[in-house]
Amino acid sequence: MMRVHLPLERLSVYLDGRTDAAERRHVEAHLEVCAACRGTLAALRRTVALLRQLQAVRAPAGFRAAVRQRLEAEQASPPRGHLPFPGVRLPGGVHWRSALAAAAVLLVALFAANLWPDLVPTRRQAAQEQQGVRRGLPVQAVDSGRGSEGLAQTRRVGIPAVPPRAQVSKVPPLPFERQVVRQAELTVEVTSFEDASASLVRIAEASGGFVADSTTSQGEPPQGTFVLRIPARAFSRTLEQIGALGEVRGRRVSGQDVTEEFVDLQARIRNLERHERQLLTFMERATRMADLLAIEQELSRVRGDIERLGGRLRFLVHRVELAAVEVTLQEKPRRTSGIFWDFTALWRWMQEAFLGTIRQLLAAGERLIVSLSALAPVLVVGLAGRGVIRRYLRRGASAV
Amino acid sequence: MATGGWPTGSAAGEPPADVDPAEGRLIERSRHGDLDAFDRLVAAHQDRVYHAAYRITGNADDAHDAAQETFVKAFRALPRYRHEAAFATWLHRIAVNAALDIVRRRPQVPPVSLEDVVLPASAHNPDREAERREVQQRVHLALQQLSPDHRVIIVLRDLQGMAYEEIAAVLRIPLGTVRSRLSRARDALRRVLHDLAPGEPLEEG
Repeated sequence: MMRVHLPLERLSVYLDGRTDAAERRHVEAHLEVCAACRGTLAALRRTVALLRQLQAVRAPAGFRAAVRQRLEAEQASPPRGHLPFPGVRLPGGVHWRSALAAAAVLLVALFAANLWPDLVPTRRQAAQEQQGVRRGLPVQAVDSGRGSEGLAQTRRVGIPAVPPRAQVSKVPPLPFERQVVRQAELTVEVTSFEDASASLVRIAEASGGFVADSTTSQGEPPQGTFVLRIPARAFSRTLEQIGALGEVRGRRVSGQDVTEEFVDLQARIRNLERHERQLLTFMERATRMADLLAIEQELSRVRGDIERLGGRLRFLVHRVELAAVEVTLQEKPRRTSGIFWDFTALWRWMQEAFLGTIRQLLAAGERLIVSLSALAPVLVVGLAGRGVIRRYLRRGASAV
Repeated sequence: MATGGWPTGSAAGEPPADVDPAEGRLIERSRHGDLDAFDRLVAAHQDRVYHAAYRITGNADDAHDAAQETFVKAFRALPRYRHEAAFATWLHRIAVNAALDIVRRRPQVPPVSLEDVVLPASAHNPDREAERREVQQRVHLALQQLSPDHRVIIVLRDLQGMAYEEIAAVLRIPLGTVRSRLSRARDALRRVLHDLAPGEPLEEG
């Protein structure tokens, strides 16, 4: 009659008397009309009855004494496995063993995570490498109007005479190291403009560099802008010294990697020089006047290109060797006015203090959020590890 | 039929934690390392613990080991016992884990016999006694054929007579899982014992 039988679970619960009145009525109504469920229930009931007639087995006679003996022996010598911190629990009910295990899992996970990027180059790295290969190819056709030329115009500084370094015809076989043009802009507020600008010159000269350009205005307060050329190796030290002159209001440090252009220029120069040598041998063998003229023309074009590229290379070498530091010095506005009490100054001061506090609070909040997000994966891994280990240890430390 | 008189645990089956103040005092003293007090706790609980261990492990040797391990571990862990559960419940949790530990470690197919187990003497009629022994043996063997999880839940419910809530506390599983696992375990046992527990109603409808 009824097609749908009662699930076993409901019969089992019914058997235990664990059903409320409504459920019991429902089950009993079904049982009345369903012989199959009746049969299942009867079989379950008999199974349970068989279980319940099993005799309770007693502990053997010496059992209690054996337990006591073992415990006494254990009290005499502390149990193994509990030596370091017996029963020490960390806050949150974590057993030290679980904590240690979780820490171990965490360390392994971090180690693996740090190992990963070494094994697999990131996509960006791979792309860069590919690009480098493409750009590094020897360029046959010398194209004079390359975009990199524009770099030179960004500097207002007059380029002093090239240090006697790179001979044009002999391209220095530069080791493949990063060629970085460093630049910095600093705005420093000082108490005395005169003293500070004098110190600035001393700093520049002490580092082996020089002041390339300076503009000063004797206004109120007096201020000025200095462009220093500092040897690359003294760059950061000099920045520190300049910063120490007063209060640093603004600071921008940048580095432009020109390695690629460097390598490119060198390759092109080498190519042109090879071409030039070839032309020279042709000229020696040439017999006809027309040929000689053509070769001569070509030779002068090639030489011109070599000179131009060499100039560009020297310019780059110079820029890399001497970093540009632009320093703006401002004298601190003196708080002197004819009035007995300068309310506006105080007001500005209060505003600054107020905003400063808010800025600090925001910064602290930011730092907190960033720290939390940095910790999030660690927490996830740690919790997962703890869960796994606790499950694993539950058998062993069953009392935990 | 024969279910009368058994604590079916209808709802209020679980005793509140530590009903017995004397036991509470014994626990407190044992917690501080008093072996005499703990000895009395062992005396009070050894039979139930041993019985559970015996039915889960299936033989007397393993039961002895598991039960002894239970009390030793319990004594060590007592400082951490916080009365969230009744002492007996807590003890059962340790016992079940100790027994399962042994079951999982040993090779399959345990040697099973009832010969080495002390049974309470009750010999009125030798013939009935022999038959009863045989049924006991059959049911015990059938239990050993179940999966450990099924065996444990049947031991706790149908042998130790625990309420669903108490089982949930011992095994640390939700109540719904207790219900479903118990019904599956009983069903599995019913299949093994189909000749002793036939589906067709015999004496009652």
